[in-house]
Amino acid sequence: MTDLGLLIERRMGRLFLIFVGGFLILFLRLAWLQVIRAESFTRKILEDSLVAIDLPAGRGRILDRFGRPLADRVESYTLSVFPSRFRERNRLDALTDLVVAWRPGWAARWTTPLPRTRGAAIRERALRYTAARREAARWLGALLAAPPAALDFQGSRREELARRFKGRTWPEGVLVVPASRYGARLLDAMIRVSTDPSLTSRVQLRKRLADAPTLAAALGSTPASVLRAIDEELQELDALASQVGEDDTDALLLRLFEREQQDLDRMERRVEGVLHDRIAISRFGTANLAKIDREERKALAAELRVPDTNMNRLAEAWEDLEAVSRGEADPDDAAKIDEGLRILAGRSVRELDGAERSALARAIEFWSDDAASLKRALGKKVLRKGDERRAYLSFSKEWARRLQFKGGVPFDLYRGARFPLAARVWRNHGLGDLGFRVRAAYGRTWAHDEEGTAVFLMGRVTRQGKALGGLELAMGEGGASAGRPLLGRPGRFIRRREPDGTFTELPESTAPEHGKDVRLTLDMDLQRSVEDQLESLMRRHPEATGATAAVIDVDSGDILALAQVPRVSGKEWIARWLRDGDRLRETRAAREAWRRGDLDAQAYSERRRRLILEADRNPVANRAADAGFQTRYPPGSVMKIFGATALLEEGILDPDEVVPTTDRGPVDLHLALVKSSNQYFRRQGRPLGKTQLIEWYERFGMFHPIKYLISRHSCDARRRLALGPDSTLKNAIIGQGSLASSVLEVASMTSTLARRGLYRTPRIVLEIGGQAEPRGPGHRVAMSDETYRRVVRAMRVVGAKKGGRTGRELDIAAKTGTAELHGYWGRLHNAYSTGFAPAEAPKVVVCVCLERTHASGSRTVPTLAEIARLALGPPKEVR
Amino acid sequence: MKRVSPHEVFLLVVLLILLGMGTVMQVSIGDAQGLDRGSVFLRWAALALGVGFVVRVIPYKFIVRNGAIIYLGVLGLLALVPIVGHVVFNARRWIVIGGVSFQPSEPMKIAFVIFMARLLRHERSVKRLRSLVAPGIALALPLSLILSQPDLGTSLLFIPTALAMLFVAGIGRREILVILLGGLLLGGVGYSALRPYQKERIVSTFLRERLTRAERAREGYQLEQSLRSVAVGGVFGQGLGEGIQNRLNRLPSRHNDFVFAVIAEELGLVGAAFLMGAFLLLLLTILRIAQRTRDPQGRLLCTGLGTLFGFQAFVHIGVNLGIVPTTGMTLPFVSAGGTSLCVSVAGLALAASVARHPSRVLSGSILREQLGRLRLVLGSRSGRSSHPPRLQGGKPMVDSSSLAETRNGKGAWTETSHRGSRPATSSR
Repeated sequence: MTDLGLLIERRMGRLFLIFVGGFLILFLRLAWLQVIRAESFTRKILEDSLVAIDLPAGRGRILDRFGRPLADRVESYTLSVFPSRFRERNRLDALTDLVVAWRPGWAARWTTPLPRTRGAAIRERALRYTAARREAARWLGALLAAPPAALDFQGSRREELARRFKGRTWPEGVLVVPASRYGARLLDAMIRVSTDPSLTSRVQLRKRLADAPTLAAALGSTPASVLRAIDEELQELDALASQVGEDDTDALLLRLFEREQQDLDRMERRVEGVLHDRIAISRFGTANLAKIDREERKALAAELRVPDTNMNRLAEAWEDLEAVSRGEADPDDAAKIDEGLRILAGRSVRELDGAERSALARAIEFWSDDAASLKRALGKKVLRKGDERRAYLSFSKEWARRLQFKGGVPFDLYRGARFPLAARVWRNHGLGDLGFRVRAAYGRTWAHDEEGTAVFLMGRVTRQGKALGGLELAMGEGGASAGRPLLGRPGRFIRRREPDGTFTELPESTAPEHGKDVRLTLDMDLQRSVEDQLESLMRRHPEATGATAAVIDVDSGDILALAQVPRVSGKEWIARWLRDGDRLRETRAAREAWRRGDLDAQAYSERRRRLILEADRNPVANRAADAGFQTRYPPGSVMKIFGATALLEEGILDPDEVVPTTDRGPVDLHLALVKSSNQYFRRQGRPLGKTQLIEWYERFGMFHPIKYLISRHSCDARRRLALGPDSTLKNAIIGQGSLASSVLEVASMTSTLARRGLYRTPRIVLEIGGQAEPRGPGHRVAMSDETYRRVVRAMRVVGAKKGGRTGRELDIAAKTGTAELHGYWGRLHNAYSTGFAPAEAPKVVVCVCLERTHASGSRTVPTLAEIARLALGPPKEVR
Repeated sequence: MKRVSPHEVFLLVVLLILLGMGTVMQVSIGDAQGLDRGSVFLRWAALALGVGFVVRVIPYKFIVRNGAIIYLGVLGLLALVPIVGHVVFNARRWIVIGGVSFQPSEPMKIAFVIFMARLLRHERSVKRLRSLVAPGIALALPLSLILSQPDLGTSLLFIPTALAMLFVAGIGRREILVILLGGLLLGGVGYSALRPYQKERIVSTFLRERLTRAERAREGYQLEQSLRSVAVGGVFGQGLGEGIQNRLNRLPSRHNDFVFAVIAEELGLVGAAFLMGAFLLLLLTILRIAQRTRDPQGRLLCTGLGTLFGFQAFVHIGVNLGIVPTTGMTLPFVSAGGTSLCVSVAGLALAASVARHPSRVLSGSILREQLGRLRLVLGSRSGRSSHPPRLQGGKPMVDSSSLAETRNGKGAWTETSHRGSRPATSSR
């Protein structure tokens, strides 16, 4: 062989070897993937095949001591739409899509997006509709007569077909239906222009296209029928355009979507599957009703108005949803609508007052009476009946669509809807389509929310589920020490999507666990009554900024009532809570400005005064429990009973010694207590010393943390203040100066006295999740019978004298205090009284404070007596 | 009747195996989408076989002789694409003639090979650098047109094909070096001219581990799904029509650009290796045809065709396995695509034509070799040979003188060559 021949031979051999080498690399890579990495990739596929639906857990309920709900959880549903995925459904738009697909050159005329203003967008759209109709008349016959082969189904990359009208994309005369979102849209367009009502899905259309000789046969339409249907739509549009004004686009849109009813009917079948599936899963954790337990079946039967829990009947009713009608409201619905209309009486929601809003929310089964959300639920229009209501509900869809800028953010159509309403809305809207979804959630209701009963104590939870203040925060999202009993554990419904498109529920699914129910020591009736009494007290002293009261059961130390007025509704409380952040920020900013020298001392002082007074009146603070930590709150002369006990037990005081005083004349201990002589105690108390006095106060229960109510931090800070250099014995012994407390703390100290020196930590929580809460630590305060007798004797005189008839009847032992405030509060006082009843065998302790008033403590004793009477009322049955 | 060469039979068998696999896979893929891809593929395969049978009987030399016309004709069609072509998925690659739309870049591949075979048929065609200008222009013209569509994947096929043909044509080392250096330089310039999505594909292939999960989901979605499909197949596959990725419709373009991934998923390592083996076998057969033919044109034609199919299969499989950046490259004879199928089968038929029409023309050196062998045979019979044969490369060589004696003893020989014939001369 020649050199050249050999060279060629060798080179061909090398060429082949190169390919062999290349394919060997491919084979090794293939083997690595399929042998070594198979498991990890399989795991990824399985992970992607898993669909997890979160099943929300409800918060635990808060109950009073008799099992009555103070805060309850409510099952609700939120219907949302993703505006960016919303699709229009009218024939005219469908026709336009087909025109563009069939005659791409025509699309060049409409390459600009619709104008942003609604009026201009609708006018522009109307022009396109008209032009499309003209084009269609020319070639619709040819399109419908075309064989399905004229439809070219091609695969494509989705994102490249996402944009419309970008030049010529395919040959004329061939309707390219790519396997992408745009292709799906074209198929939908064909379905929409069809006048065959039985053609409802793309799969159906594809099957028909495979068998039918022409497109017309596949769509079940003729050119004439299609054009007729389109002409009807155009006529409606023209008529509407002439009726509505230039800016009345809302009405125009409303009419546009009345036409969708036909499409909604067509989609209902598909909708139901999605509805049942999703709502059932959200509610029960399974789409299979046979798996739900008896209690759930009972509840479902009640809601669907099925007489028994027989599974077949239940399943039928579930499938049927009899209450949903096509344009006719059922009797219950009609009654609710009528009630809603009556309440509105032609007004907008914002014009309603609180009570009316609550009534309206109840009427339409909406769980919040917030004006903004009600307005949204009603879609900013007056509620209408029957067909109008359906059309009106469709209007909301158009709003959702117009909110395209929201993009992927869900727009909540109905938040907090109850199950029947959610089902009805879903069905009426035909919401099985893309962009809509229903989410189960748990709302919260509070007893006497409008009144604001114990709102500061319990706190609130926003619609987003965030706890604000009170026990909702302390026991919901509070620190680890609180254990978060109110928070539940969400469940997860995990299912695997099988290759055939079905779903298999996996055993890894977990059911949600609701939060634990918390039973408080409060008596709700007593609480409300105490709040009423305090408001009545405030009305008699209109200059007072507020009032607080605490009621403690002597034997157990249970807090039966912890009240604070003025009351605000739960809604207002949330709003004030959210605004409080601004106040804190402003306070910090003022301090920084003063430090920098941007604010002079006077301006700073003035601003500080304003902010402190604002804080003073802020209803979000729990003043009844821990006022002293938050604002200036000296207890006043009520502390003399504890000071007297200390002096007697220390042997410093001769109780019978008469001491001349300039404030109350010559007095002994008894008279000094009855008349509340400051001089007596200041003089007699000198040998005791400030530190020892404070220690005595502490033994009675001052500066002791109370779980969920008074923090250790507060106690430490106030103790430091009481022992600090600014504190003096002469002020401390009369409950003034650097001493700061609250009605709860004073009541706690008083109950120690009532128990003849046995201190028990008060508690607010009785049980968590059915488990009794352990009592706090206790101790004994040294107190002889004689000391007790002397102090209580004086208190009984005060109770009888100042407590009026009730005080005498109940044999109340009380002590008053008029705590001077000074400083920013000028000559105002905190008017205190504390006591227990019956004096011989104390059962309840009550402490009342009228805040920032000119009145003296004596004025609060009748209220104290009345509260004691209420607390001593007949025993109630525990649920 | 002309005897069918064993290579033709082999080609046909391998082709039928590949077409069969293609049909089966299209059916498997088609079921998932409710479309009858299988019968569409079968119809195109039948048409392609018909085309192939026709091309096969045409003497390839006739085709190569008219290579310039074919090349220019298809180049003209390619040139029409920017003018009258239709944009599909942001690329303008298709034209419509007589209501039928097709991609001119597909037949351009074959036309290019034919024309290159024509250009490089002489030994001197590759001896000097300047003689590479013509093949360079022949490469550059379709390459630039196809790149402008844009169709990077198809354009890249031309380069190794041209290189392989030059290599086999006998290009010198110096020229190889110059071409390689020039290629590197152009490659660097070319990378900077790549579009962002093309660069992203390169990154997502070679720097995959650095991508976050979200980036992989966005930029390397197809690749990720392809790798999963391949890996989940295991050794024996999930079974025809049972591939989970296939049924869940997770892998885009699996009927053409990612058909190998479906094969790997459903037929496993065994099936995929069988497919790769089939392609290697196809390549071997074509190269063997090239090796055995005496005609440089036939040899170059087969080299070009073999490289084309082999490289295309390599890139397709490489993309599916994640070692080549994602590019829209179909798998010859297996992926859906009517034009591609017809053109590929026509190309294979050309190779079969080379096998079917072996060259009777002997070059001078080969003729001398053959005569030497004959002399050896005759000499051994007559015993008169006094000269031991010289060995070169294991084969006996004869010199002209013995050749002449032998001839004189037996009568005049007529030496024939592509240049014509002349009587043998003897000299002693």
